[in-house]
This record gives sequence, C-alpha cells and structure tokens, in this order.
Amino acid sequence: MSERASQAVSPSDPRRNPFFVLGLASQATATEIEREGRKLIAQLEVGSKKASTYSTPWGPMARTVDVVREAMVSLRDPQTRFQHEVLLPKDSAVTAPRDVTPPASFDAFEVLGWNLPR
Amino acid sequence: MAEPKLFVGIDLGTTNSTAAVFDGAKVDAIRGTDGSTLTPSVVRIDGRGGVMVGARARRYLDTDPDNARGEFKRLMGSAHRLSFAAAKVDKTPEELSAEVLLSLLASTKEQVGVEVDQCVISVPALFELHQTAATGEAARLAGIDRVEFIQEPIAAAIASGWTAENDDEAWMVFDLGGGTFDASLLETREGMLRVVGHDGDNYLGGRDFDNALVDWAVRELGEREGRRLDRKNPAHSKAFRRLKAAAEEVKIELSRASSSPFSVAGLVVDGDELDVELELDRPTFDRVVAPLCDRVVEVCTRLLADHGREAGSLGRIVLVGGPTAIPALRERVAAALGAPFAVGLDPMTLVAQGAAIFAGTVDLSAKATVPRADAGMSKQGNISSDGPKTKLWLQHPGVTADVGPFVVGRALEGAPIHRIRFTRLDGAWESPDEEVDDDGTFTVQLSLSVRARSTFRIEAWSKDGKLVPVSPRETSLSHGLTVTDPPLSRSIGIALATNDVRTYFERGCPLPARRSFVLHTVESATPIAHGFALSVPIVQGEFGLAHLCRLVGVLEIPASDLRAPLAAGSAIEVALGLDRGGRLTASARVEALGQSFDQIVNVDVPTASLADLRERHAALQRRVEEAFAKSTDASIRTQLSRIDAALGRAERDLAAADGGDADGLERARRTLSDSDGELADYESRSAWPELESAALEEATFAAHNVSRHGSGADRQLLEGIVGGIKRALAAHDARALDQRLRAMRRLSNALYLQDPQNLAGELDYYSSNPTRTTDPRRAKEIIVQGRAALGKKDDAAARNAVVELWELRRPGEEARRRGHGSSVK
Repeated sequence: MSERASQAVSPSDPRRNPFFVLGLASQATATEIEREGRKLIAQLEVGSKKASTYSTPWGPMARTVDVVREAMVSLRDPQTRFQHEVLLPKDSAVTAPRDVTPPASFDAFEVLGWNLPR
Repeated sequence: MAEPKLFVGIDLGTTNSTAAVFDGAKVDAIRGTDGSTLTPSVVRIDGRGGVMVGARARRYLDTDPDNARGEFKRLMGSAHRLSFAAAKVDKTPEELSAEVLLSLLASTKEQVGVEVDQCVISVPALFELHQTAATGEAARLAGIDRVEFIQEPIAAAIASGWTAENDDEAWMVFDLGGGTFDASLLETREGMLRVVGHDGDNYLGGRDFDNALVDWAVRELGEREGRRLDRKNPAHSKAFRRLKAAAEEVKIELSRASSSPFSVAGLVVDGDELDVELELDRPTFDRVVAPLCDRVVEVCTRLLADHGREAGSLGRIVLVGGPTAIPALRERVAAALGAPFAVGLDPMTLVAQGAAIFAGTVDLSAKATVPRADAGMSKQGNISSDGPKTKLWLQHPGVTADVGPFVVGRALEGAPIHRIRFTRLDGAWESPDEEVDDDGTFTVQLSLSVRARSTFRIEAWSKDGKLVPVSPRETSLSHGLTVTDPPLSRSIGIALATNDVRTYFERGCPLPARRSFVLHTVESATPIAHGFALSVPIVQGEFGLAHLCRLVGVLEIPASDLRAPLAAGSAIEVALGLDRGGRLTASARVEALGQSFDQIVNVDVPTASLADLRERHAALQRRVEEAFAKSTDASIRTQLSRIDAALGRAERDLAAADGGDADGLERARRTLSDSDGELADYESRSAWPELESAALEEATFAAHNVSRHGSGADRQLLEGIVGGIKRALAAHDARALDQRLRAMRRLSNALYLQDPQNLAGELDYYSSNPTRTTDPRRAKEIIVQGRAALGKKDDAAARNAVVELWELRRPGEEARRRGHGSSVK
C-alpha cells in the first residue's frame, strides 16, 4: 500500500465549500453566483466588516478576495460544482455499507449498484 | 452631469497595431497622423538616435534593413536583441514594442484628449507566460501605470457581440494575424461571454503565406534562370527580404484579382543584378498556399472535435486579421466549418475595439487632459467643487452583462452619512434608501437600462435626516455583453522530484488566480554561504510528467537565507499567483523555521542553441521512425504523419535560423516542443493496456477503503470520479486519467488512514525498509512515535506519523533529474 499511496492530502475542508463562502444555496443560478461573487469582492476591497467572515455549521470563517475568487471558479465548472453540491453537509448522517467486496472490473461497480455517471 | 469616462484598448500586432476608444456607448478606432487606423509595428532608429515608428519607418524596411525592424512581437520574451547599425544600439523586442505603444498613445491623446496611463492590451490566446510578461514590460516602458491583458479572440468576440443581436449561440473567432493564428470557440449565455476552448498555432500567420510565395518564386527562378537562392546563405538575406515584400503585395492583389505580376527590379544575387518578372495566377496561388490552409482548417476542426461539436453547429465565424481576405482560405474554412461569416465588421480594428470595451468592463479609464465643456469636474469626474463634501469610494464595473449589478462603496472623509439612494437619471427607477454600515460601507443593487448606458444620481443623508453633499454625485454603468475573467491558455504547475506535476492552475482557469499547496522537501538543507537550499521548478503544459512540460521559472531559496538546518520531509507551503496578464508570483512558507520567502519568479527565457535544437530534432525524427515501424493502426499513422510534417517545418525553420533568422530559431523551438509532447502522448497511448490495469487496481483499492471507512458522500464522490476514469479510459485521454486518479488517491488515502491496522502496517513496512526514505534516522524516530501513539490509541498522532513517513519517501534520481531538479514532492 505504501508505494501506491500518494501524497497524503487532507480531504477538502468542508468549511471552505464555495456555497458557504458565497452564502448561496446549492440551487443558485450562474447569474446569482457571478453577481454575489462580484459584490463580495467589491465589499472586501472597500473594507466592509460584514463581508469579512461567512457562516458555516462549524462556526464563522474568514473570507478574503482570494477565497471568493476560488469559490467562483469552482462553481463555474459544472464538474467541480457537482462535487461541492454533493459535499454540502446536508446528508452527512448517511453511512456507507460496510465490507463490500472489491469489484473485479469497472463493470462490477454497476453490478454492486454504484450508479456511475457517463 | 458626470463627465464620460474614456476607455482605451490596444491591439499590439505583429504587422500592424491599432488603438480604439470606448466611451461607454460607442467605440472608435484611433487614426494616426497619416489618417490610417493601422500603425505598422515597425521601428527605425537613425544614426543620431532619432526614432521613427509606423508607416514612415516601414518604408525603410527594404531600403535600410540594418536600421529598421519589424515583426519583433514574435520575439517578445526571448533573449534576442535587435541591432540598429547606424546608431550602434541594440534594443530588446520589449523596448521596440514600447516605441509602437508610445506612438499609439500620442495619436490617442491628439485625437480624444486623454493621457493614457491605464489601458487594456490584447495578446494572442496562446501566448506563453514569458511572452505576456514581456508585453507588460513594454507597457511599463511606455509609461502605462496599469495594464490589463485580454486574449485577442475574446476581444474580437466582444467587439462583434457588441453590435450583434443574437447572443445565444456558439461562435468561432478565427484570428489569422501577421504572425499568429488563434481559433477560439465561444458561447454567450445570459449576456456573459465564455470561452469554451481555444486552439491555434503561435507561429502561423500572414507572413507564412508570404514565405510560401517566396519559396514558389525561388523555385521558379531556379527553373527559369538557373539561379539558386538559399535561406541559409547570409549573403542572400537582402534578396529574400525584397522577395518577401513583393510576395506580400501579390498576396493582397490576388485577394481581388485573378492573377498578379510578381516583379522585383534589380535583385542582387551573388553579385549579379536580376529583374524578377513572374506572373502568378489564382489557381497557382491557391495550390501554393493549400498546405497552410490545411493547417488552419486542421486547427479549427480539432477545436470543434475537442468540444464534441460538429461542422455546421456554429452560429457564426468572426474573421480577424488581414490574411482572412484570402479567397482560398475563406472557401476552405466555410466548407470545413459549414457556418456563415459575421459581416459588417472591420477585421483590422476589431481586436482593439474589443480591448477598449473590456477596459470599460474592468473600469480602466484614461485621464482627461483637456477640460471638457462641463468643466469643474474632477478628473475622476463626477463633481463640481463648491463647498465641502463627503467623499465616496465606489466599486462597480464600467460595463456589465448583469442588469441588476451591485454598487459597493465607502464614505472616506467628510460628514458621516447614514442613508444613501441611487436614482437613474431617466427617472424610470430609484433604489430604496439603503442604510450605511457602521464602518462607512454600503451596498446598493441597481437596475440598468438594457443595452444602454445608465447614469445615476447619488444622494445621502445624515442620521438626523439632513441631505449631505457627496462626491461624486453621479456615476454611470453600461449594460452589454461582457466577459468573465480571462482564462489561462496553458496549465501551470510545480515539477516534483518524482517527475510528476502538481497542477496549480488548469488550462482555462480564470485569471487572476492564486493557490497554495503543502509540498515536502526531499533532502535536508543547511544554512551555508553559497548555493540554493531549495529549488521549486514551475512548469507550463498539459502533461502530467514534468519533463514534458516547459520550465517557465524557478523559485529558489538561497541556503544562506535559512535560519536553521531543514530536515528532509519538511513541509513547505508553496503559493503561486497569476495576475490577469499571466504575471507569475511565487512564495514559500517553511513552517518549521517560521520563515517565508516571497519573490517574483524570473520567468526563464528559452535559450536553446541552434546545435541543441538540431540534436533534439534528430532525436525526435528517430522516435517518429521507430513509432511508424511499430504501428499499423491508420489513425495512429495519421497522427505520426502530422508530427513528421511538423518536424519538416522545424527543419526548414532551423535552416532559416542558420541564415541568421532569429525568428526561425523561436519557431523551431516551439514546434519541437509541441512535437515532443504529441509524441509522448502517442507513446503513452501505446502503453494503454498497462495504464488501464493500473487504474483498475487503484479503483479497487479506493472502493475497498470507501466501503470500509467512507460516508455516503464519499461513496457518491468516488462514483463520480470512477465515472470520469471510465470516460478518460474510453477516450484514451492520459491527462484526464491522471487528474482523476490523483483525486481518487486523495480520497482513498484519507480513508485508508482512518484504520489503525493500516497505520500499524505502514509503520512496520518502513521499519523493515528504512532506506526507502530520504532520512532513515528521522524515519526511525517517527516510527517510534507512531507506535507509541498507537499504543495509547491516539489514532490522530499515529496518522500524522505515517503521513510524515510518506513525505520522507525517496524519489529516484532519474525521476528527479527529469523533474527539472526539483527539491520538493
């Protein structure tokens, strides 16, 4: 395992979910994301105190222009947006089934009920 | 009333340059002293050091080539200096471009009365970092304090979109300039212009069409007159220059006529004077330029295919650049893409117009130098100076696609304000009274008139309800097509000692951008007087292997700067930043020493010698021949033929470089680099079964970890990633496969480390194999700590120990050499 295991990188910090950063719901439209992002960047540039933090279920986090830009970039890309939508902690109570037999081929994912996007 | 801001955009072209001014409602191209909107990008310096730019300088290109220089844009960012014999001076391409900029700025000042200290300059979409950085340097030399860059095809699309009605379709911007070709696929959605993708050839332009005609003329002279002209022969340089000037005229003539004389009087060849009297008809011309048209069409169809589009799916094609007037080219492109050309646009000034509109979007206005009729306004505009006023700092774009944008501001000085209101001057809308926050900031959402300029009166009140005069008292925004942040043309990352690339910014990532990752040193370092303790190579390219990407800079930390010895495996947080123009900054934070190192990365100038490139060319030629011998697959043989043809072009460029053509060397370098990448792609594809098997093994391992330790969200994420892996496998896309495997490894490793049994196994493995680490003594200490933590059931501490051991893993020497000598992984 050691040789295969690559660099250990912590899983994405859920507190940095771009929907939290922008203060938007996961259903936000592209226009809402652009508008909110630009508003927040402008607010941070003029030194607005209320824009300098955002709320998460784990407490407030510092918001910077870089963080906002990164959030906008993430949500413009449909694939990364999908990942962030999935990772919003609404279903964090769901647990995975234990001890599933490892698949012998990629088709085995479907056999095991893994619904793979195509 | 507010004084309208003026926004300046500049197209700094290979052959010609143009400036345009946007006032928020319409765009005008700037005319030079000769009345033309085009300023030839040519500089002449006479014996007394006098500088001449533009059409006048261009006249000397043939008669006084030692003191007149053109096409230096192709050399931007290279180490080449261009000499001016009479003045006995050498100039960099950046210095010469600055002269062209100064000429354009002078015309702008004369025509519209503005001092241009900030503007937008267009650059080719496929310009590499060092080339964009060089353009920024030219702007600085020309006295421009703030410059933003926009890619040429995006600028063209903005300009054509501005006058177009239908904005819900895909376009292709087809930009064939003097020296470069860019094809860009764009879409507009909800008024926001997005670049879906672009492709191109950084070394294909009108000049190559001229060269093709010169080659034809040389062949004709050889057959008819028995004269042999050789690009490698420096004594023939002047003759080639004169033939090229004639070829350009013939090319333009044949865009209208069915045949044209190709005449050069008194051409001196080997001491003899020769009158060239040839006749070129349209069919011959079409045949001569057909290979170039093929290259252009190939780029366009590849771009469509890369984005899953078919010929006929485009709404329109926007043509930019003089060579797009060539009928044979137009016919080939129209037939291949099956879409109409946009009409009613000026292909020569379109890019500058778009740059000016973009300047409005990012609010880069020029300074008025001449008081207007409604003087009494400050230079920012907006207020007369009677009585004290509360000064407001407003933040909003000059142009936006959003009809309901926010304006954000802050009261800076003067009487405090409590409420603020914006009223549109057409009387059709006013904002509610918005409260000003305790820190003096406020946010108001406006409503704009569609596709028009809206001006708003600003009124503010104190806490006791008294009207407070403010400055500015009006502000304006225009609604229209706008563009998101400019995207990065090629991915940027850090080369690791394992010869992998840690990608920081993907191709297409909007700029500006900043990102940091924690990497780890692969060897220990001590504070000594000389040398570098750490070397972090920064590379640009689309490949997952560092040696296939181009080194664009190195963040180096001098050993003498270290406060204390640094152990192998130490964490180092490396941040890279890219501004809108692709200027790169890098910083590193070494937590263990409490030290930070910041610097602007010196973007490396490519300096490969002719001999190096010849050697590389020969090696590539051998690899292509070997690949041909092994392959019977038709599609692979087509790809190899393409690489072979590119190597043929490189050979021709190397021959030209031998004859003193500095540009030839640059073209050859680029072609060889691209061919190397393409060949490596083929080679990795031939190893596909092996990659597929390795991917399956990794997916199995990840599925096992997710099943044992993951949540529902983890499982959903893995499903998404595995779907991506399957698609990458089906498409034989090594780059996409590599990216998805990395994502899967991150998820899998994080979960793998949740299990104390796995942690114990890892500690046992390194205990038995201490030499697999860069610092066995340190590894031993970590193993002891890890085992103690496991004994106390402190999984978090044990996990940290294993992660630390992983960081100490020793990369192979060969991998490190190929990874540009990186000190990190």
